[in-house]
Parts: sequence; C-alpha cells; structure tokens
Amino acid sequence: MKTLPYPKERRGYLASTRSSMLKLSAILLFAPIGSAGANNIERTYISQQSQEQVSVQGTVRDRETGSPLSGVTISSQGRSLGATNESGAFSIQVNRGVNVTFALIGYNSHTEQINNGGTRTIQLTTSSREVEEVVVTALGIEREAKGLGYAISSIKGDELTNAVSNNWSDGLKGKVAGLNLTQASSGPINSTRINLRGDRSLSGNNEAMIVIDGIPMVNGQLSSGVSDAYGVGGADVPIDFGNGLSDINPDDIESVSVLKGAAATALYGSRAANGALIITTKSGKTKKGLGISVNSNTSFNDVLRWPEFQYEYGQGTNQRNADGELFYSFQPSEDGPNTGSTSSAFGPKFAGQSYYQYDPATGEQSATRLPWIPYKDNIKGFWRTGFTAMNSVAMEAGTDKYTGRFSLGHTKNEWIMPNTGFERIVVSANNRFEVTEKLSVSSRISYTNKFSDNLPATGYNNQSISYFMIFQNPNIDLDVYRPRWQPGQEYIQQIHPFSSFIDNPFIIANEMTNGLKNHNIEGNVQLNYQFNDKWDAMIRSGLNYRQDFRDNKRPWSTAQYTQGMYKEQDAMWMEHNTDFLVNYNEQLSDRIKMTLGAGGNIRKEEGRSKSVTADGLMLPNIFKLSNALNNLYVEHNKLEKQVNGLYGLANFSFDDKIFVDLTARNDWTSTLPKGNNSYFYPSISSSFILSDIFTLPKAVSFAKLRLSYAQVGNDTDPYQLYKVYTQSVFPGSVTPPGTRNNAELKPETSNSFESGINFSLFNNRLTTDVNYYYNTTNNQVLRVPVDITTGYSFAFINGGKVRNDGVEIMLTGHPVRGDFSWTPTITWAKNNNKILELSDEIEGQQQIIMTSGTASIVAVEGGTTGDIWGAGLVKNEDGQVIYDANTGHSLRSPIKYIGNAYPAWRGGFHNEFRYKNYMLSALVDGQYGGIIYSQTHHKMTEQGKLQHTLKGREEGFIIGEGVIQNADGSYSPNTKEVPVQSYYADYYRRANIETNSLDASYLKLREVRLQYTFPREVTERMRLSGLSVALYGRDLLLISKFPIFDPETAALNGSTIMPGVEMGQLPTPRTFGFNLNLTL
Amino acid sequence: MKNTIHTYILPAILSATLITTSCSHFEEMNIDPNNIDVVVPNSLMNPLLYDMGTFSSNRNYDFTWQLMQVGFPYPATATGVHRYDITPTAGNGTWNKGYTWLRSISEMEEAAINKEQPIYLAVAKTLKAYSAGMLTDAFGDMPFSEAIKLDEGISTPKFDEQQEIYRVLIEGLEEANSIYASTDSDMSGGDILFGNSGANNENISSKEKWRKFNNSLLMRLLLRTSKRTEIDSYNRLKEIIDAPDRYPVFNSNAEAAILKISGLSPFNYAWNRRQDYTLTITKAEFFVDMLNDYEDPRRPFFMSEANSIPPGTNLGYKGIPAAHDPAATFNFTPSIPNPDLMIPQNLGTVIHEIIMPYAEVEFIKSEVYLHFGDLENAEEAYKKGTIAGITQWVGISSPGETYFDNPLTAFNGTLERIMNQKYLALYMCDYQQWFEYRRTGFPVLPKTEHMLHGGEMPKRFMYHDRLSITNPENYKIASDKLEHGDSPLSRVWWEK
Repeated sequence: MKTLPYPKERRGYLASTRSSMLKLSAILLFAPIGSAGANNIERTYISQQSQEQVSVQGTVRDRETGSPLSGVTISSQGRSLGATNESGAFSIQVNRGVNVTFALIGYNSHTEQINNGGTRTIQLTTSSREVEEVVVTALGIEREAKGLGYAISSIKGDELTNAVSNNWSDGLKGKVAGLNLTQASSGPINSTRINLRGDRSLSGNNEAMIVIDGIPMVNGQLSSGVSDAYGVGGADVPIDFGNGLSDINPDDIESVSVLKGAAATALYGSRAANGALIITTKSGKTKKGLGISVNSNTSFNDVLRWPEFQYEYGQGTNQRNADGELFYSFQPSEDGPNTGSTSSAFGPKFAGQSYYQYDPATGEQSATRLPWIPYKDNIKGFWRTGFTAMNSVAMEAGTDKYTGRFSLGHTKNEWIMPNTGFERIVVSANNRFEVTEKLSVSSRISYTNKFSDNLPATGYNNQSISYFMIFQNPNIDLDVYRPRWQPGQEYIQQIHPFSSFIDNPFIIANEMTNGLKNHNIEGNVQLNYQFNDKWDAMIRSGLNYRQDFRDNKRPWSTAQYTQGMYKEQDAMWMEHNTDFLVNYNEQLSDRIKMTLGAGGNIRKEEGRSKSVTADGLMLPNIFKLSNALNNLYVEHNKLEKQVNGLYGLANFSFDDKIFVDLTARNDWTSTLPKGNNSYFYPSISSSFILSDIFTLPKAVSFAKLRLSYAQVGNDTDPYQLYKVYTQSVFPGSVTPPGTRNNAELKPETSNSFESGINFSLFNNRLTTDVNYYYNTTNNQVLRVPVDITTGYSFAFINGGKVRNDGVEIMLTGHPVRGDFSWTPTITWAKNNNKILELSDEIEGQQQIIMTSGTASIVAVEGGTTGDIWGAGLVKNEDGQVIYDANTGHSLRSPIKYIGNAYPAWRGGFHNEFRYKNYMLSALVDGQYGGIIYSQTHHKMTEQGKLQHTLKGREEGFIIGEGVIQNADGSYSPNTKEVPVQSYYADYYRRANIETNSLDASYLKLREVRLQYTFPREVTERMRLSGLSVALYGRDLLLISKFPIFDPETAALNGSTIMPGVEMGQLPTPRTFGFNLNLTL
Repeated sequence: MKNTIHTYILPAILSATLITTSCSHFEEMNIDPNNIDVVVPNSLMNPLLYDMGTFSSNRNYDFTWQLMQVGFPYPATATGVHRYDITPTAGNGTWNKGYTWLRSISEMEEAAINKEQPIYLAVAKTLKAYSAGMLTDAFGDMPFSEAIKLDEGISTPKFDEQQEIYRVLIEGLEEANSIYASTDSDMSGGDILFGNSGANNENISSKEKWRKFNNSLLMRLLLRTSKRTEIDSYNRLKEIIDAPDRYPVFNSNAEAAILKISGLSPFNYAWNRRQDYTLTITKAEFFVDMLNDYEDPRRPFFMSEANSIPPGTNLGYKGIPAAHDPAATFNFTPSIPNPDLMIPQNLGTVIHEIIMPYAEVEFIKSEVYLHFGDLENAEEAYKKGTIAGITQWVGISSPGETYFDNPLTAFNGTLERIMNQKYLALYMCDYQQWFEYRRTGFPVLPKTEHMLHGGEMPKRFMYHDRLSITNPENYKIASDKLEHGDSPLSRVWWEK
C-alpha cells in the first residue's frame, strides 16, 4: 500500500477548491480568520521568490504493457500541474526539490522528488480500481475512495462526451448501477428526472440533488403553466423548456460523483435525501504551450423507431353501402354519405379501387374517382434529419500562483421536427489564486444563454404534433397540408379538410410556436485558509440564477383557438448558498488519525413568474399583447424559502485500514410550522480494508467492506401550511383551494442502512463492487388526492412508511491487456419498493397518491409506490376474459391493481477495446419489467391505426376471445360478434388501463464510439499537443415489445414527470456523429 | 488557544447568531404572497355560476341528449349511452362538479356569516338546493350532512338518505325565501347571472331575482317528489302558486336563471371547438320528428337540414333513430346540431346557457292545475311555458297563438302534452329531461332491441368509482341499500 503524500491527504478534508460569489455577511463572518493569517502573506511571498524552477517533460506509460497513459493527473502539494495528453506526454514546470505525484484511476500513483529538469519516463503499475482514487463527496470534500463507508460512483467527463447528445445527462445512462433517468420524450431538450435507488417518497418528488462545484443548482423545471399532459378540449399543452441540468457544457465537466445513499449525502441534509450528483468542473492547469483545446461534435439525427402503423385499410368507421361493402367518400357522393371526416381507419382496404376523394386543387371533392392508395410516408415524411453542432474551446493557463480555465461552448440544434431546435452558448471561467501559501481564493462563473424560436409541445392535445400523428389517416397525403392556409384566406382559414379536430401539422410546426429566451448565471467564490498543519477553514458563497422569457403563439382558425392566442411568461428562479467549514486534523497516535470539522449553510430560494395571456386576437397573425381581443389575463407566482443548517463531522482512520466517519446536522426551515421546523439527523459510516487487515489469498488483490447508517431529514415546499383562496380568471373572484394545506406538517425522515463490498481479483483483472441497501422513509410530506366529498381534491399530509431495499453490482474486467486491451464493465441494479404503513391522517386501507387521466397510483400496505391501478378486464378463475353476452364487449372491472411501473431490474454492459491508437467502445443497456399505460396506444388502436387492429377487418366483426357467464354461474365460450371498430374502441378504451398498459422492458444499443488518436510524431509536426477524431452513435438500436416510439417515457405534467404513463410522446432521435478533439 | 478562539469558536458563535436571527422571520417568509386568505362572499359567485352554466349545457349535450333521444354520436360504436350503456365512470364528472360547487357554497355560507351579509347566506342556500338537488337526483343517497368537512377532520363522510336530503334542501329554500324578504342588505352586484339588474328594462333588483330563482327551485324540488305521498307536493305547490307575494317566482325569460355568455375570455363558450359540438354527432329521429310535427320555429336554430346521398336534394329536418341496429346504413346525411346556438363563429356573440328556465315554472304550474282539475289555468300556463321555451333562445321570436292551432300542440288536458313541451323547453338544461322522464315516463320514447337491459331506462349513475377505495365502508352501506346494488337500474327514493 502506497502512502499518499502529505498535502493530498490534508486536502482530503478540505473542501474542493473552486469558485464563488461572496456575500457581505460571509466576509464579516470570516473577518477574524483573515486577520489572523495576514502576517503570513509577505513571508511566504519572499520564500517563493527564492526558489528555482525546473522543466520536466516526458511520457507516462503502463509498467506492464508499456503503452502510453493519457489523462494522468500531475500534482504537487495538492495543486494540479496538468495531465498527460492522448499520447501519454506531459510537460510541467515546478520548483526544484518538490514532490510531484502522477495519478490515474486504476493505477497506483507515483510520487517522485524533482531535483533536476529534463525528460523522463514515468511508469505506473495497475492497482485495484479504488485504491488511489480520489472522489468528490458531499460539500465538495475530496476524499480517497478507500476511506469511504458508502457507495459512490465516479464518472469522468470524457465518458459523458463519448457520444454526446443534446442533454449531456443522457451519457450517464447504463453507467451507474442504481441510477435511473426518466424522460418524457419531449423534444430537443428532453428534461430528465434523475432518481437513485427507487422512489423512496410516495409523492412525485424523488429527484436527486445536483451540485456543481459545491453549489446546488436549480434543477426544477419551471412549469410552462400547463399541469396536465392530457389536455384536449381546454388547456394548452406542456412544453419542455428544459431544466438547469441540461444546460451545462459537457466539455466543462471533469467528473460526476454519484452519491447514492443517505450516508453519502447526510451533510447536505434534507434536499439530498434522494441522492446527489456532484459535478466537478475542469479547472485550469499549469501547462506548457497555449493550453487551448478544441472539441467539435457534429451529429445527425433521424427517428430511432416508428410505431407499427398499418397501411392496408383507409379512413372510415366500418360503414357499408347497400351491398354491404365498405366504401369511402370525401363529402357525400353517389357512393354514399361522407366518410372523410373521421379520424378512424376502419374503412375499405387498399385494393386498387377508386373513390371520390379530396382534391387539393379545388379544396373540394374530386370530379372523378381517384385511386384508393395508402401514403406510407404521410407521417414519417413530416420529420426531417436533425442536425446538432456542439463546439467548445477551452483555454487553460497557469503559473505557480494562479491557474485559470476559460471555456466557450456553443450548441446549435435543429431537431428532427421541422422548425424546432435551440441554440445555446455557455461561457465559463474557473480561477484559482494562491494569495499566499496559506490562503487561496478560487472562483467559478458560468453564463448560459439558451434560446429557441420554437420548442415542440408534448402531450395529447391539438397543438402537439403527437396528436396529429395519432389522428393522421393512411389514405391522406401529407402534401395536402403543405400550403397551410386556404388561398386568399392566409392566417384566417387553415387547410384541414378531413377531421377538423386535427390542426394542420405544418401550422403546428411553423406557426404554433413556443419560444424561449433563457439566461442562466451560476457562480461561486471560495476562500481556503490553511492556518497550520492542523487547522484549515473554507468559506464559500454561490449563486444560481435563471431567467426565462417564453412566448406561445397560437394562430387564428386553430381547433382550440378560433381567434388565436398569445401568451408571454417571465420566470425567474434563484438560489444562493453560503457555507463555511472549519477542520482540525490530529495524529492521535502513530496509527490513528482524526479530523474534526464544523460548518454551516444558509440557503435561500426565490422564484417569481408572471404570465400574461391574450385569449383571442383582434387581427390575425399579429402576436402582440396589444392585439388582444379582450382584457389580458395575468397570472403571477412568487415564492421564497430559506433553510439554515449547522453541521459537524468527525473522521477517524486507524492505521489506514479502518475508517470511521460520523456526521450530524441540524436544519431550520421556513416551510414547516414553528415547533416542527427544526430537525436533527446523524450518520455513521465505516470502511474496512480487509486486504490489509487480514492475509487474504494471493488471488485477492484488494478487498474492502463498507457499512453505514444514516438518517436524513427533509422539509417541504413553501406555503403548504395555511388556507388560501386561489385567483380566478374572473375579475374580482376567487375559488376555494383544491388542496388542503396542513399547519401540522412534520419534517420527513429517512433511515438508511448500507453495506457493500469491493474487491479486486487476479492482479486486478476483475474488480467488483456490490452494495446492499435498505432504507425506510417516514412522515413524507405528500400531496395526496382525497375524495371530493370531503370538500378538497388533494391534501397535504405526512405520509406512511416506505421501504426501499436493493442490490447494485458493478463488475469491471481487464481480461486482455497489452497492445490490444479489452475492458468490459457490467452494471446491474435491482430495487424492491414496499409500502410498510399507510398514513393515519387519511382513513382507508388504500390511498390514491397520484393520478393521470384514468390511471392512478394507489398505495396499499404491502404494495409499492409504483402500483398502477385502474379499470380493466374481468376474468374467471381460469384467467379467461369474461364478456357480456348481450353486447359482446368485455365486462368492466372496478378499479383494481393493473401492474407496476417499476422494472424488476436495470443493467448496462459497456465494452471498451483499444488497439494502439484506436479505441472502440459500445454500451448496451436496458431494463426488464415495468409497465407503461399508453394513451397513444389507446387512441391509435381505437382508430385502427396500428397493425394489431388488422385482425377481423375482412369479416368486419370480432368475437372477443374469452367466455360469457351463464345463468347458473358456469362459463361458455363467447360467440357474440362485435363490429370491428366497436371491438377495438371498447376493448382498448381509454379507461381500460389493463389493455393499454404495455411491457416496458427494453434493450438499447446506447452508445458506440470509434476513436483514432494521432500519434505524437504526427501531432508534433502539426504543432499540436493532441489530436483525435471519432465517429459515434447514440440510441442506435432498440429492442422492445412496446409498440409506440420508445418505452423510455413518462408523462410531463407541468413541471413534474410522472413515470409509468405515456401521453402523446414525440419520437426518439437516433444520432450519428463525428467528433474532433485537438489540443494546442 | 487564541488561535482556536479565532478560527473556530468565534465563527461558530457568529454563524449561530446569524442563523437564529434569520430564523426569526421564517414564519413571515412562509406566508403565501400570491393568494388571499380571507374572502368576501360575493367573490366566490362568478366562477361558480359560470361553471354551472357550462356544465348544464355540456352535460345535457353529452349525456341527456342520448338517453332522451335528442341526439347521439354518429357514426360510432355499437354501444353508447343512447343504447343505455352506462359505464361505471359515467357519473364521475357530475360527482366531482357537484361537490366542487357544494364546497364553494359552503365557503360562501361561512363568509356570509363572518362578514354579516345575510343576503349571501340566502344565495348559498339557493345554490345548495340547485347543486345538491341535481346530485341526489342523479345518484340517490349521497354524502351530505358530513360532506365538505375535511377541515373538521371528516375524510370518510357517511351517506345520507335522499328523503332526508330533500327535507333539508326544501327547508333551506323556505328559509332563504324569508331572508330575501326580510333582509335590508342588498347585494354587492356584479354577479354574472342576476347582477345586471335593469339591463332588460326591468326594475327589479338582483336580490328580487335571486328570490324568484330560489322559489322556482322550491317548486322544482317539490314537484320532483310528487310520487311520494308523504311530501304532499301538489298541495304545497298550490299554496306557492296561490301566494305570489309570499313566493315570487320567475315571470318571464328575462328573470330566469339564464347565463348570457359572450365567448370573450374568460366568458368562454361551453365548447372549446365548434367541431366538438357538431362533428360526429347527429340529431335523433324522435326529437326531430317531434319538432317537425309541431312545425316548431326552433328547428333552424337547433340543427341543420338533412341532405340526400349523393347530395343535391334537401330532405328537410331529418334525424337517425337512436339505438338503431349497428349494422344499419342510412342513405342520407342527417341533420346535425347547429353550432351557432351555443358557439357562434364570432367571439363576442352572446348566447344563452340555461341553469333554470322560466318555462319550467309555467309547466310546473300547468301540471299542478291539471292535478287539481283546473284545465283553464293549466292551459294558460301550458301556453306561457311553451312560448317561453321557444323564445328563451337568442333570435327566436314568438310564433304567437298560431303555434297552438296545430292539433298536436293544442292543449288537450293531458300530462303528456305538458311534458312534451317541457321536454323541448329543457333542451340544453343539464339532466332535467331525464329526471322528468323518470318521474312521469314522458315523453314516450321509442324502444329498440339494440338497447341494453331490455330497453329499461337507466335510473341513476353509479357512484364515483374511486369511492370503493376512498370511502369503502360507507360506500358499501349505501350500495347495499339500493335495489340492485350500485347499478344504473336501481331506483332512487322519489322514483319509487
């Protein structure tokens, strides 16, 4: 076991060294410390001056294989000096006589004293994965992974950019056991719901906390103001304007630590109860050369997968003429009544015949019968090849006192739906200045500007293109819609000659636009002061500020808005945090080391939004509020919240073999009632290096056991305590609240136990990490639906008790090393969720916790928080479906348990092959089990648009497969014929949750990347320090029984994403890209 | 040691001070800055009244049209409400609406007491009788005395019997009538139903209009229980009719509970899209033929004319038989609803949404006179009701006495004749046509073999399907009391 150099260890308990915006109060708070250190500054300055600098360059290689190692970090006294490039080369300048450490994950780090400059080759030996790894933990504290008593997964930045998508968090998929990403398939931004180890809360909020360089970020989706994905016949549609997470420039990310368990996050307290993603951004490094790197990605997208549309039968409702034959007629004709207005496709077969049809030239019935043919491109043809260019330039520079990194990222996306996409510019700067040897100041600031003329609407409603795709009929040529407006009636009368329920898709794309202008600033300033060997302190203040301007344009003559609509929304959200931490280190004996720390945090959140709607426009096609037909309707919302916390921590290390961490925190929150607004929670975690404590067989290179227990408290959102009346659209009016606020709310607590083992076998050829966790959550603050007869629709209550337990496994192998290497990695996770107790605040053995349309999530003791309930089929003891003898339709069951939205397990399989300068990697991931209730499936089946509705078409009727119940209680086979369109409409009706819930298991070829790194000889000739090119692909293949676009979906309800329910999804893009990476 | 004080203890004390001082304004910070916490009763009225008007129009169209053979979806599936296929969730929307209204009404009652505005206590009672009356007529027994009491900790209210609910509602209407009569306080004005007094050149205050609405409702409720001898409905109605000073009721369409809706936001029409009202729906043969028989001037306002296939020949007003053979084909394009009645093309055009029509009051009078054998007064009321039923719509002028020259419309001293005109006058008025059919069996609707339950008219909605989860014990007690359990075929108390 190699001992780490002193500075690094010391740094271990220091908060990570980055950026911040300092509040005045914080400076005052820190004043006594500042003066204490002041007289040290000058002295240090002089001593620094007298030292002589030497240059060292060379290559770092694998000791066994001799292959160059890239990405080796080089540091001295805890300060980063740079890293090796793609060909393993490095070049540094250091003071003579200092110790320089070379470290790389998977290798034992190597430290040597630099007495002379020159060229040298450093050789690193492979180690177990975790031994020397330094990871970033809660509050930005850097720790050796070895000493951690809880599971943490660390992902390097380049793993995220291998096959980059619009939303970099896609790159986490399949790489961390126990991490689930749920998306609503909602367009180019495609916001993500990040969840770790199952839903521990019965309420919708189970999202992990996101922290950038120690400062929590705004990841709430600011709702577009539409709370239901199913909104036909009333409201507008939800639009995914993105959440903060998606706006980080992926090239700025150094690493992401995934803290899964409560023990890992206990210091963050409340808000990290669902785990945390700790993002560390790249900081500057002292480098020779210009230190400029350029990363350029160009990618093209098409649609990964289409539903199984049928193109054998055209528009109609199974109407027959006097001869009993199916017929078609656009407007009444001698063939029969009009059948051209329906959205159903139970019409005649495409068999070479002709009918009177729509004539685009006249806008009327054709003069003669036209051939009856399918237009197989009438949905697919609407979509285009998407294009994304992501370019970033970063510049790093540094002296021994100062390091800085500046980056500029630009993304331009033209999404697969015409006239949608966005553009994003991210500028960021990381600076670190060592004022004296003891005092350092670091800061990070990042500004994002994201804008779009049009982001697509999602959900099931006229303004969403999914609605059009569901309603489009197989015999309708997409081209009839292209002129958009009737001649001479531009912007007054649209062309939609068939069903007027559906709007012209080209008007949806080009004129029903949803614009966005977003400004996002986040930044922090941090001061670190090292008093002496024993004492150090950190103070940091950070801000995250987001400002959105959004507008929705709805032209005249559209189905929902006969005279148009225009809405503007201004939304602001900010959070600022100030923390401090003071640490004390002590070597208690030769073998026992101790660190004590104490700190505090003040967090304040503020939000404001205002939306103004002109419902109806005086003049068509003028989208200005002054063009309103009537009074403008204004909605506003403000919120404010503050949480103060104090915490303490103690870490003990016994002989570098046993590590014990204790933490405790108390929070005071503004959102809970007095008396319940202060809550305390402790944690303990321990780590045992078995391979050092015991003599293990030689095959075991490393083994570690982890045990931890933690309690975490959580508060709630503001304004849930007292009764208020909500604003009504009518002037001078209010409506009583639908949700009962509760002045007795208590903080929620969760208790977690976790154990894990981590070992390497056969000289690190196989490393394994296995975790078992068990946690229970009590008193969750829930907004539950209650029976309307009580006077309310929802109530805030402290909920029951939910348990989550599960296993996470990660296996990494190095079966082949050498010139050719192969590194396979498997991740696998299984979570069991169980409701142990229901709340006693609400009576009943069953409690509804969430609803969407006709599907509900119902909590029952012993059930899970993902149990979907709804009406379904009635079956006899033999499992046969029972039909009504009179109608021939299946009997309707009362609300019952249908299935579970949670999968049985999820897994990923990643492979990396390297041969000389080539690298090929591929990731396959998937889930097994889980169901999705699909609105699209219901509607497309009801309308006869999917291939499975071809059954029974020739006969014109279907006999439902099952039995009828006889008067004596026995069963006999069902023989009743039901007209084909009635059968599908009834059996798959919207309220039948059972028949519209589908298996969500899938397997995806998630990422593929083929990279070539130019050899050093070539790059040197080109005066570059590194150059690589790569081809990549993302979401290339999907295997799933789910018959719509993608089983990875959920419903976007306002700002929450409800899993297990699909409400009009958009297609998933498949991406092919080219990447160029060069360093000057 | 000095170092320790500087570096550790001092900041800790400072931060603790900072934290506790900033905690002290926490309670203030958590006061909702967006919404108000006290209300005046008047502020609750408009959302409620608008909702009632919208609901009345929507539900009549969606549901009552089908049962009462006014119209139905066409072409469509083999089942449907017009074939008496009542799904377990058919009543969910009504249940939710009714209790949402009762909730607002109970807030209004409370605010009226707190703000000492007794007039609004009366309004609350009127509206409660309207809402709860409709709910119990549609479902039977229901949570009432313990409903709307989550604030008092009741999350599973018991179900009260319909007879008891009727007793309380009728008592409430009587009480409200005397409050309207006795209180000096006037209304704050501006309510969208009656707040615009004087607009129709009538010099009666909105308070007086509310009183008339109240007493008209009292007549509706009393008549609804006409089969229950213990209520003695006809005699009590006679008393009311004979004492117009003590019980003023609607005397004209201008006084009726008819909402005038402009379509301009927020007063949107009850349908969002014109096509929602007219596409995929046809007028039923029974309704169209009745209007044809009566040569009724309402026809062009209610529907389009039918056309031949291939088009060219105008077939006049012609519907499709309700509950027809699903395999049947009809070789013409039938009359469909005329959207101009409810959703005119141009926003700003005023339409009428009927909460309770004046015509209903005249038909109640007519039925009461008929019950007591006073044919002369019965005929007069019948004629007034009929004409009011025609002229309550925008743009339809009175056909005058000539309307009754038709032997099919002339008063013939039968209840059927009164009920047929009442059926037409209750067009677009929530479930009233269905309730009255269940009470009297009129109008006589044709039966077909494609109706479920052997053509037996559904008697009620099934309870909200989530009650079996949210209030299982009381739900079971209520279901067990019903003739056939929680089924659409079980009769409610007043129907027995």
